[in-house]
Amino acid sequence: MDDMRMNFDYEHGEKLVQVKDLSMWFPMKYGVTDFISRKEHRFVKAVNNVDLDIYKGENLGLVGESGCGKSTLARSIIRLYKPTGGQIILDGKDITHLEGEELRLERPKMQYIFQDPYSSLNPRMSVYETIEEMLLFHKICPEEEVPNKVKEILEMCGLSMEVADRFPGEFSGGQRQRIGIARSLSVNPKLVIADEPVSALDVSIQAQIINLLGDLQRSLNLTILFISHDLRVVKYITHRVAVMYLGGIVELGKTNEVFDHPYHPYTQVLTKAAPLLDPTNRTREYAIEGEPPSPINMPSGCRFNPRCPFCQEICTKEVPELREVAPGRHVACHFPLQ
Amino acid sequence: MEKEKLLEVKDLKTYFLLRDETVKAVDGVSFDVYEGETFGLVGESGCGKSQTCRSILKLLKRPGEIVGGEILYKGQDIVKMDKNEIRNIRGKEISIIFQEPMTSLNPVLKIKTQMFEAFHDSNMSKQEKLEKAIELLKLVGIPSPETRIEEYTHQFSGGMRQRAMIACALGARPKLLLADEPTTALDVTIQDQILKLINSLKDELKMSVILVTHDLGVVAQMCDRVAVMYAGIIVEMTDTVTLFSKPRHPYTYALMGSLPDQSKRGSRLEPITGAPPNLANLPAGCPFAPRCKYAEEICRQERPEIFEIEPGHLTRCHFPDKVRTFTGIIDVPAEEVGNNG
Repeated sequence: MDDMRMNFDYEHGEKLVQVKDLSMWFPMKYGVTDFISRKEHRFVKAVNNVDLDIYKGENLGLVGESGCGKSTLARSIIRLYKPTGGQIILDGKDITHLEGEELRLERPKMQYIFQDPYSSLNPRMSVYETIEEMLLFHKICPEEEVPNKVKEILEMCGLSMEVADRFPGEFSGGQRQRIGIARSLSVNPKLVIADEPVSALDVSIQAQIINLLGDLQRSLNLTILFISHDLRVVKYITHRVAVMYLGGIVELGKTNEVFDHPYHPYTQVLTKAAPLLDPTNRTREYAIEGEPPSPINMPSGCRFNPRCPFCQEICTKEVPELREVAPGRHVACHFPLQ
Repeated sequence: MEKEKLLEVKDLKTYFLLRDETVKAVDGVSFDVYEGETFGLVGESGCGKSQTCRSILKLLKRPGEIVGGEILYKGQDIVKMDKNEIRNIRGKEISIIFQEPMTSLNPVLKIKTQMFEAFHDSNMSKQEKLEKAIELLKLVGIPSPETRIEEYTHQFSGGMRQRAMIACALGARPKLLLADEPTTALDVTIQDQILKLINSLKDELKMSVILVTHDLGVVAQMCDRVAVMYAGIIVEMTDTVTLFSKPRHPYTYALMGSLPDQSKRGSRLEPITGAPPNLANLPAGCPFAPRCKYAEEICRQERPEIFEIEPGHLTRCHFPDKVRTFTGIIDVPAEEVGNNG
């Protein structure tokens, strides 16, 4: 049993990333007619007032339905977007408003692993060139050491130097994902965002990549923000999990605690909706009816209230704060489940 | 109670005849589907499960071709039917729903127009058709169907599109529904809704369903019987409870072992090494042999035949004694197995 993955020491943990009150809104098209008719500016409120700490060496899961803002939050954290409001502190440095060269110097610290290994690699660059580019651009090592470094990185990701001269098109999905991981890790990042890294892969290949990520995390002491909609994978690999709904975090805590005893009704819905691997245990009840509302016209009060079975009057009026209900356990609900 | 066979697939071979090679997408697949049951076809991408499903309605894209075998629907051989005959089956007797509803619904036609196609041959008046279509949309759970029927597919969300496609497919009350990864593109909460919708419609319309999926969770929740496919052939076939409690093929066993599961937290997963074989260039013996932990010389030389290892449980392996020792991911008392089908 690997204790490190089971129990992460949060009391003595050091925060790598602090996200404070982060919002990311995308303006909608505002045409001339809208201007003449004095229509209000409208926004897609993808991320709203999110507070989140990520500890050094942990694997934090981020789950939620598509369109709930998981990827937007992650991309804002590593400053692929310019946040609408709030603050991001990476390794003690405020990176919220960095621009140009200054931001570029921070880039190697934070890397992204994409979902789709088919479109995130340049089809006209060989594996060697892909990694070489990263090493030289970020000045990770002098030019003469590049071949050795590439070899080292490829081997770390379970590939051999034989693949170096081949192109992404020649590889299967699992191999390509390894190349994507090798590219991201080539610059010695502190924070790695893995955005649905195994969703596009077959089950038998998934396990290979999950193992690889686990091994790399331990050997390099990586901090991973693991985005996924597959609860089975999240339960297996992460220490803590944050559940998102319509642009906000509704529950945050240690993975096994959150899934075994959800406090937020939405978390409960998610755990119920995932199909159980047990044909003797079937249910005909819907986990939840309807679909999430649009992030353009948010419901007032708690965002989950129109679909919540326990909704009371206060829920339609006041937005519940994400508050600590037990040590290390946060929930944004007026009436947390017991 | 003996159930009637609705569909019999016998030694179906669907090949893609390319200029310099032949891709054997489906290479001798046989199974039966009984009335009122949900039959699962499960496997990884490229194992031939979708092509098997499409072959049943002869919806293969060129250069795909059925080169051998029989598909008996109520005793008639679909393989031998000409274009007109198969038209009388498609949509009326057997319907199909696809994974990606955006690409399988027509973006320039109103939902209404697409649904009317299902009643093409009937003598209903326009008003009757409209009423029927609205009733179907209601059945699949689309809110305010009277207004939404006038809309186009892009105005629908992913889950709604899938519901609309199911409504189109059910227009002529088919006896058999082919569902080709119907929920793969959807979120878990919507997946849950669509799967349960298919279940309740199945009971209401007394249909049979062939469910193609790669997700063992979906199989566990939906199917009565399952066939596990690998590289164009069926490697194991039995009822769902038996499959999960007593897998009898190394591939099925390895698949279950590679699933991440909370109880395995902290330990390493056991992935299946390597990748599925190239269907144009299959190994001589068992196609799973290169990835199989238990493979021996005979596995690389000779392709094993499918045989009945236990009553109603088919498998394709050279080592029946070895696979009998496999335990599944659920425990079921011996007497309960088989009552679920």
